[in-house]
Amino acid sequence: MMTKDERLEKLRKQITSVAEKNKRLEEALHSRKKVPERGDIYLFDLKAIPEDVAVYWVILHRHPKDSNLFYTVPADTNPLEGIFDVSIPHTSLFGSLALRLGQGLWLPDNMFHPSQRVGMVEALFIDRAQFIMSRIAKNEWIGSKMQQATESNPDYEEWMEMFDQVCGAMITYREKQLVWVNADKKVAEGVKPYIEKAREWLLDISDEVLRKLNDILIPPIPELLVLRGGTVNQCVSENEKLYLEGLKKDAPLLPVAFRLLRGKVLEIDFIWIEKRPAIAPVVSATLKGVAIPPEDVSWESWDSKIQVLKIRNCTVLKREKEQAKSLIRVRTDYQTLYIDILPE
Amino acid sequence: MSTPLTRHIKTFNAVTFPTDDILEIIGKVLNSKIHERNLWHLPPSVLGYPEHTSWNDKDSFFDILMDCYDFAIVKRFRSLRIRVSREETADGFVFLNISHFLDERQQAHDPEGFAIFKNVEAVLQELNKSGEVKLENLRDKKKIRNETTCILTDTAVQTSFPDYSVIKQIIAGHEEFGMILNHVAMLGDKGQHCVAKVILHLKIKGIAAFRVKDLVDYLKKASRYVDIEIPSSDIMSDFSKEFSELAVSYNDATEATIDAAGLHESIKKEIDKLKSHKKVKRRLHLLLNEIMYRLAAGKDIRFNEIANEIGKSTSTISEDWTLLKSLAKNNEKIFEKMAVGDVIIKHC
Repeated sequence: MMTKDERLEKLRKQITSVAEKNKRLEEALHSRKKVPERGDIYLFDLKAIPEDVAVYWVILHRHPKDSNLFYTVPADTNPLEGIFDVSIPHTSLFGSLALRLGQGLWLPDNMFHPSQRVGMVEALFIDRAQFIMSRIAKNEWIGSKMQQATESNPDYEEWMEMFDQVCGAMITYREKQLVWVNADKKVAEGVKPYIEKAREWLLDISDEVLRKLNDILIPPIPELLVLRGGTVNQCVSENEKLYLEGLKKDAPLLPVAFRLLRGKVLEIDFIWIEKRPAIAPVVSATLKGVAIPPEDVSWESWDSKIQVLKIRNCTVLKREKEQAKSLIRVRTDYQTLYIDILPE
Repeated sequence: MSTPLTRHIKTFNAVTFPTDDILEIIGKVLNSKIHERNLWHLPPSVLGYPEHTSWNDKDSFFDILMDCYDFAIVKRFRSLRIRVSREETADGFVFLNISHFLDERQQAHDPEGFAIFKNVEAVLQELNKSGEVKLENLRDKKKIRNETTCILTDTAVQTSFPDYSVIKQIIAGHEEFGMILNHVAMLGDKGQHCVAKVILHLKIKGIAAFRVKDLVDYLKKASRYVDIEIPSSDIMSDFSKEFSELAVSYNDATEATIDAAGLHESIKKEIDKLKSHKKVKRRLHLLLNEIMYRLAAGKDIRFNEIANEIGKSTSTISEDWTLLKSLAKNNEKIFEKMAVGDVIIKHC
């Protein structure tokens, strides 16, 4: 049995070790790429999370066919571990965590901002979590006796109910992100002919500039959008030159001015896109690999914030009704959307 | 406004530890949570302190306070640090961690008592939802606690409760009493089914209301816990022994010891070099991963558990272990490194 002093000394050692570990983690994060990576831990500000709880999101792996998607699982510091949970020990860089594998979601890369990355989990633990995921997917995983018992613990049930709400909020958040990305891409497509025109007329628009313009067309608040071309032509009057340069300086991303060169006079036009074009028609849709007839799929309503995908006469969906979540994949001309369907 | 706990997390270091005010705050919260759970009247062994016969023992509270601080702050430091960098206070976080600390200790050191209480709690919640019973004296965000009373009849609320001896007699008279005792301490459907039978039986026998404490206490006493250790097979002890021979040891369960990630990577490469079938290599990788995980988590390394996790037979795992050892032994330098002492899971 340890004496009081021995206990305190032991704890002091642990504190020193944790402080050092925290420093190492900071260094590791600093040297990591800004883009999301396997093992990264993110923190999203979701309203469904109770005040005194933190829910982290840990990236387990990248989608094999769509490199923009990451399979991400929620995690927390509650030690209760059910069948579909994997615990990360306190010896890891981040410290104790429980990965809730059963609540994972595919999240697109644009949702992960470097400022939201708060830690990382070492490959050793991610490997193990992935292996367990693979066994869960094959229906081979039953967990330990302790995990099975925990499933019947009312505290755990309550905790996981909270997680269901958090995941629901995350799905809504993700859908909003997907809608924005989709809308932005559509807007970009809508203005593309103008960019092409500008390319013909402006001397300095290179492919690189064009690419940058396309990048620009994913604005944070894409309500109003205008295009701006390349550098100022020598034919432009001094005042116009100053105006254009000022515009670029003050608003490097938005608004963007679009110019037309007519004869030797540069006219400055602004193309304000006030109304979004209709949503992209669905090219194909599958649910768990089973095709849904294109005529049964349509975007039923569309405004600046919400799009609704409706699927009619879909026997696949009926069969899947009992399932907690189903993943539907919808491919449009511009991108592939992954949508979870919740039961009614 | 910054609180003492928040400031403590912001300025966390070993030099200033322990600060009396922080230990006092954690001690008070811990004390009240132990009180809420009615654990003070139970021996300290139910929370994993068999060296103390009573909570009146000198140092018994100090021991649990140190462990609580370790669990709620040290082991969850990163999470708390993130919290204080984004929010004004981390107090609620720490208090929730203290509750989780007690849950974990109860479950680990008094599994049968914990299971019985949780089974009773789950059944009463269900019966309450369906209107079969009414619950009074709920505590701590409407949770069922020992002092909660369960009302079985629709008639006026009973003011007096049956004696403990009456409860005991009625339950003992249940025709399936033996079966109930066999299952009631197992957290899960079977256990909860038994508790439901007991409650129904109490109602049939004319009991109008009872205290949760009386029911739980009797069930705990009646289902004398038989400590069934998982039998240590020769294979498992060999396994542990051999592993310790490789000097992979944790130093006093603190942070620690080897460059586990380096070792992991090194043996992975050795596995990849093997001319064995893909399936065998995959199995070896899985076994290695599982061993390293258990090492990092401070868990026992047991063949049967690993075999269960990987989905292979223990004999297969045993053969793989022999092969893995031969690969590891080619990495003497790494094992020398491992023998140094503290294990640190480095950033892979």
